[in-house]
Amino acid sequence: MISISPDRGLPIGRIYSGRPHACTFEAPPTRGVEGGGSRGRPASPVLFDIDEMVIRPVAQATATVVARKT
Amino acid sequence: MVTGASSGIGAATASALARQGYVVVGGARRVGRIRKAVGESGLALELDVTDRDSVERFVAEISKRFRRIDVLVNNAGGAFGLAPVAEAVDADWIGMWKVNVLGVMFVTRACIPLLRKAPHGHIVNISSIAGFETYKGGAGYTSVKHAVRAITRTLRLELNGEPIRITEIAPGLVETEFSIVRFKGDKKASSAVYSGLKPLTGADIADCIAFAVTRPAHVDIDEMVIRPVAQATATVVARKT
Repeated sequence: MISISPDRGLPIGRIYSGRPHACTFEAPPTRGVEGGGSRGRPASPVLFDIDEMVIRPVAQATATVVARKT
Repeated sequence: MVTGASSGIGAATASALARQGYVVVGGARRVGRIRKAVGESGLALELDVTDRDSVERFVAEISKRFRRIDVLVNNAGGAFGLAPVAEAVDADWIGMWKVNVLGVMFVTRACIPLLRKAPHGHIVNISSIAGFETYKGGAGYTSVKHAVRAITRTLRLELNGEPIRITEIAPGLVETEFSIVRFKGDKKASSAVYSGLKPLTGADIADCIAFAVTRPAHVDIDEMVIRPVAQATATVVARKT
């Protein structure tokens, strides 16, 4: 059984290694990363894999450390 | 400001940021090779990140000319040798710790006061998948990149509450001078690293860095891992023979 979860160690990348599939499991949030983005990136998803992307608000250092203005 | 701007990811990043409209200050030991990367509006300065005095002179010059730093890209680094721990070469390990770890500390420490003067500062540390993976013969390099990852995460805590973003960029196989340096000029050994697959280029990584720094100021691309699609891990690579 393959577990699809956003954890490092996801087996999908290994299973598909050598096949024309990019295995991005944290989807890019906005334009420009996937093929053909607004900044003119060539559509070449089979060669270029954003394996993982973590996005936080600048005020958040970790899940529990968040700078709040009071 | 981009360190290691004379070649590879650093040069490509300097060019990419110049195209985005940044005034880029590029630093490297080979200063003559930086000028093309930073463009006409940019500035090329000599910089040895392993030399604290060189770093302080470099940052003082930026302070004098520009008074602030908006984006710091800690790119300078490299791998020396591929010996197992039992046969580790002192000079290789010392060199790697100096350029990859002490260099990041010297530069970041010197730049934080100028980053604080920017409306929104951004520190981009070029790490590697070696920052969270290991492979035989790679302990020298993986240990320094694990250290860069630790420094990056610590900075995120220490600067939390300030308008300074922290991004770790972790590439897989990128064809630059990296392997030529690692194998000390052995082109055959170097080219074997990239044989049978299409590796990433410096421009691919620069594109990701440009994406991260051009997000809205409240959005921190905390971490980005980029690999050629043929590479599953540091040691699992599909090669066409």
